[in-house]
Formats: sequence, structure tokens, C-alpha cells
Amino acid sequence: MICNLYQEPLYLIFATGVPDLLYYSHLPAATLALVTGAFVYFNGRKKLLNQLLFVIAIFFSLWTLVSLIAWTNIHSDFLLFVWTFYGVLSSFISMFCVYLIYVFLEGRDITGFQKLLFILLLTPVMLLASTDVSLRGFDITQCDAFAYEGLAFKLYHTGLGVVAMVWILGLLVRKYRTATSDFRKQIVLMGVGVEFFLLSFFTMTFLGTYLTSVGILPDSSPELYGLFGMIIFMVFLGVMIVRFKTFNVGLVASQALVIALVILIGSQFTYVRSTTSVVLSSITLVLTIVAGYILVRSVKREIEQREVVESLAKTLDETNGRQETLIHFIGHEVKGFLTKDTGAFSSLIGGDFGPLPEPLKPFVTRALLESRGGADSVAQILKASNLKKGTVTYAKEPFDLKDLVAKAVEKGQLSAEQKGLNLTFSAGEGSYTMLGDAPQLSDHVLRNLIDNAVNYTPTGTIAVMLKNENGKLIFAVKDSGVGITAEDKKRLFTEGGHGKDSQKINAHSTGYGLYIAKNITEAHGGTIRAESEGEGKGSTFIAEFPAADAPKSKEKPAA
Amino acid sequence: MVTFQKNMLAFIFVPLGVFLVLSSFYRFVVSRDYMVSYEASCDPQQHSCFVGCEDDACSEEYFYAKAEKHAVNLYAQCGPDITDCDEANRCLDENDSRCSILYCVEADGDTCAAAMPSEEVLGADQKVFGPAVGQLPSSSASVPSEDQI
Repeated sequence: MICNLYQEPLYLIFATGVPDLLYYSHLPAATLALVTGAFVYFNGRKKLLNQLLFVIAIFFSLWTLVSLIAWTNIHSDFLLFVWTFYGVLSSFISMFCVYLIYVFLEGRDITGFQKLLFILLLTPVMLLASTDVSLRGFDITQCDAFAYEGLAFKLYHTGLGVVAMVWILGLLVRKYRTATSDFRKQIVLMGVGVEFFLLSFFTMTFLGTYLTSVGILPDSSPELYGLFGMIIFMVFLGVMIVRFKTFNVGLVASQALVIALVILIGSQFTYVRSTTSVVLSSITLVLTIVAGYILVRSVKREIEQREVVESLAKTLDETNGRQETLIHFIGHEVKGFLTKDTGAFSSLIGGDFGPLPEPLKPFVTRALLESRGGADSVAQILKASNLKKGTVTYAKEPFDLKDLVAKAVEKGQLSAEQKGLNLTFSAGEGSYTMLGDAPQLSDHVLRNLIDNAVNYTPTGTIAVMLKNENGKLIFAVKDSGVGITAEDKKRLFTEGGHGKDSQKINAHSTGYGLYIAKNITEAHGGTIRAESEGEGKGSTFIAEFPAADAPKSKEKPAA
Repeated sequence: MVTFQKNMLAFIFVPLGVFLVLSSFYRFVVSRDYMVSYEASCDPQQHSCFVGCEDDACSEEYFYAKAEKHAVNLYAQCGPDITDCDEANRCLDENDSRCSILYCVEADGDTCAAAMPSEEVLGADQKVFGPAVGQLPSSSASVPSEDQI
């Protein structure tokens, strides 16, 4: 039978007299879904997630094809044959959306039991779709079959859509609670996209067709708006593909998205009628093509650069690891030689091999000092390397910081006096007991800061101060030395970070001293900082530690 | 390796899909086993007809009865196009199972043609078009064909 509401369609789907929005709602949505699905699939055929997205895209595109045929065809036999697949395809879309979300969240296939559940839910739809339960006849006057659709069948496949939405929401919420912050963003994007798609698709389709079947609406055109949900979903997927590399697609996705955008705008020609609208749409299309080309090029370049940077970072990490091992090996070897030299020079000066000829004494003494300095430098580099690797362990014992500082000052007095500097120490009243590793704190923090002050103060004074301020032990070394520029201050506590001219003043500086001091201070739950008004205006280094009797919450005990 | 457990959905749904396509094609395209409803022509002098409009402004009216036939029978009587097919406007005595013609009933809130049929005409055409308005037990006047009875 044929109905005479429309002309015979061209190529099954193109007819005149249909709503303007018909092609604009169907063609871009289906094309966008298919393009995205195909790109995703052909860039990772073996990935289940990619396969599922492609399958959903195919189901959705078939549904839009069925819908277009139903809207435009006039042969009742063929129309009803096609109409059969409405409910089947929408049921598969809803269940496969659940499947997709499960695989996306869990990263693995669903269980056999879950597959069985899908089969149980979908089999009735497939078995009953071609029977009277689903479809009984055709209305030639309206050229549709809404009045002959079985309500129970319609409610069942629409109900599957509702079940899918609730099911997906449950899966998303459960996973969101335990996900990392990066994955949470993906969950939100995927969740909002798929839920919005299902909500708009099922709600608008059901309302449009049901209200038409009971005669409230003249036709089911509201369902046309439901298809835009797919476009939103695909845009969300696009963001995930580009930003989070979901589906492992890479570069092609951005190109696919721009192509889809051009299709979307190009589709406006299917419903614009006036000359002005055609001209405006043409201008928009041309501008979009140009802007899209530029966008694709820049996104492509950016993604390529990101991939290069990521690759370099990986290589750098590996190189750093090997370098670290090499430094350790060389360091240990050199330290061994220097220690042996130091021992030999000490023995010579000590007269273990008989009296040392007088002309040799200054040379041997100098050699002893230099080999000791060399051994200290190597030890410092090794220490920094160990700190970075996290292989340094600390004792956690109570000790008196005041005594420790006094001893460190005493040890620094000799070198200060040799340079003609006035080194003083003052401590406030109160308890200075703290928990930690006294030898490491003394050697690498207290003495390091005092020695630095001596090294970088040509003339003047160095004042070492200690006070207990509300359970916080504050150790400060103030000098009248070369000071610190704002630029140098940024590099002070970094690994190997030298001041701009620091090696001119202290040729033996390794750049690791303050880095080690910072690490050890922080391992004791403290902080360290430097203050200076600028070059030539002296500097103050301040380290703060929690006292042993300080409140527990503020304490960060040594590891 | 393709296993049933891994590809359970494909193993079940692909055959079901093929079955669905074939059964649907056979039912709707080959057998034409479905009902068809349409507007049959109606003479307001003889029956209570529904009133339809030719355009949105309803500048021109036409009269019709609501007809329903089994597609395979209608196709045999009229071919693919029922326009100008007399057999489509009545239920035939033979080979017209599941045929019904529905006339307008004002009491149901339908808009019916103003003129009422005469007694004489009603009696003559009763078998084909169904009983006169007022003799029907239900809301709308519906008459099945004889072989259906």
C-alpha cells in the first residue's frame, strides 16, 4: 500500500514536505557518531572499549536511518519492515551504553553473568519485534504506524533506556569515589555525555511517538530534538580523546572532530530556505573550514610536541637513572682514593715513616687539606644523590640542640679567626630538646650554614643565634658578607644550585650543601630559608625545628 | 581464539538478528500480514460521516468513514494504491476477513456530517456499510465482514 502524504523519496530518505529539522537532526548526529566511532575503532581495533563505541555508533546510525525511512517512505510494506527495528535498535543502544561504561570504568570485559543478563533483557525484544506485540498495522492517512504500536512493547524498550541510565549512574558514582583526580574528570565527562544522550534520546523519542499515537501531536517531530544528545555525547568523547587520550586514538581524533564540525554546519543547508540564510550558512561554512584547518594544524603540532616532550621526559628519566648509578660508582671510587691519600698524608705528617724533610712539610700539609676537602665534596655529592633516591635513614633520638649548635660554632671558630671574622653565639632561655639525628643535623645543617657564612663573609661579623619560640626552635646564622641577589635566592636550595658568582668566592662549592641542608631539615619536620637585602648587604639563614615537647600535630618526625 | 564465553553476545544475537530480519521481511513484505487503516469515502446522505478539512483553514470539507482492512486483502482488491478503489470503501462478502468500517457517532464527541441518511437508503446498504446510526451498541459504528462473522 502507498500513502500519498509525500512524494516518492529519492535514495530512500530524501523527500519533500517533511519537517525542516528532519535532516539537520538526523544526518549530522549519525555522521558524527559514525566518523568518531570509525576513527576510534580503526585506531585500536583490538581494544574492547573502541569496539563498543563503534558498535553503539553503528546502532545509532541504523536507528537514524530507520527513522529517516519511516519519515519519508510511502510504501507500507517496506515501511513496516523497517519500523520493526526501532525498538530493537534503541534497546541495543541502551544496553551497549551500559557495556561501554562498564569497560571504560573497569578496564575489562563484563562477566559471563552480566552477558547473560543482557541476553535475557534483549532477547524478548528481538523475538517479539516482528509480531503483533510490537506492530500490528499501518495508517495510510497519516502514513505512519504509531497507532498500531504495542504499548507494552514500547514501554519495555523505553524502560530499558531508563534502566540503562540508572545502571550507568550507579556504576559511575561507585567508581568516582575511589578514582584518581585525573580519572574523575574523565568519569564526569563520559558520565554527563552518555547520560545526557540517553535522557534526550529516550525521553524525546518516547514522548514524540506516544503523544502522536494517542492523537495529541500531529506528528512525532519532538523526537528530532532527542538526536542532538548524540552530538553532545560525541563532543564530550572528543574532549576525552584529545585531553585524556581515552581510546588511545592520538592525532586523528582532532581531525575527525573538525571534519564532523564541518559536516554539522554543512548540514544547515538541508533546512535553510531563504537566500539570506543560504549566504550566511555558506560564509559560516567557509570560515569554519579555514578555522578548522588552522585548528587541526595547531592541535596536531601541539599533540606532536607533547608526544615528543613525553618521549624526551621518558628518555631523560632513564638517562638520569643511569647517570645516578654512574655518579655513585665514580663517587665511591674517588672517595676511596682520596681517603687513602688523606691517610697517607696524615701518616707522613705524623712521622709514621720517619721525620719529614722540612722543605716537604708545606706541600704535604696542603695536599692533606686538599684531599680532605676533595673527600668531603665527593661525600656531599653522594649524600645528595642518596637523599634524592630516598635511601637516607635518620635516627630519632632526643638531643639538646643548644649543645649541638655550641659545638658547631666552636668548630667554626678556627676558620673564622683565620679570616679575621668575629663569630659569636647567643641562645635564649628555655628547653632546646628535640628529636632526630644529631650527627646529620650537625654536619649538614648547622656546620654547613656556619661554614657558608665564614666562606662568604670577607670581613665583619657572623652571629649565630638560637631561641625557643612557642615550641619552635629557631636557629639563625647572620653574617655581614656578600649577600644574596634575588636571582640567586631562587636557586639556593636546589640540587647543584650555585649562586651566580659563588664559585669565584668559594672555588670548592659543589652546590649541594644547601640542598642537603634543606632535605635534612625537612626530614626533621622543620623549614629552612634565607633572607638578604641584596648583594653586599649580608644574609641570614634561618632553620626552624619543632621542639620535642611541641604539639604532636605540628610535628613531622624524621624518617 | 573465538570462544563462546568471550563472544556469547554475538553467538546469540547474530542468529536472532538474522531471524528478525527474515521474519519481519516475510511478514510485512511477502505476506502483507498486517492491518491497514485509512479514510474510506462516505456519503452523508446515507451514513453519519466524519468531517475532514482539505486545508488548514478548512475552506473545503470532505466526508469519510474510518476503514480498516487486512493488507493482503486490500492489496488483492485495489493493488498498491487505494485511491479511487471502490472495494476499499466497503467490506466485501468474500476474502475480506478482519475488515471494518467505522462511522461517526456524535455522542462520542466526533464531528459528524450534518445531513442524516434516509430510512430507505439505510436498509439497502446495511450489509455493506453497517447498521444505521442509533442502532449501534458501542460508541462507534463498526461492522465486520461476513466471513469474519
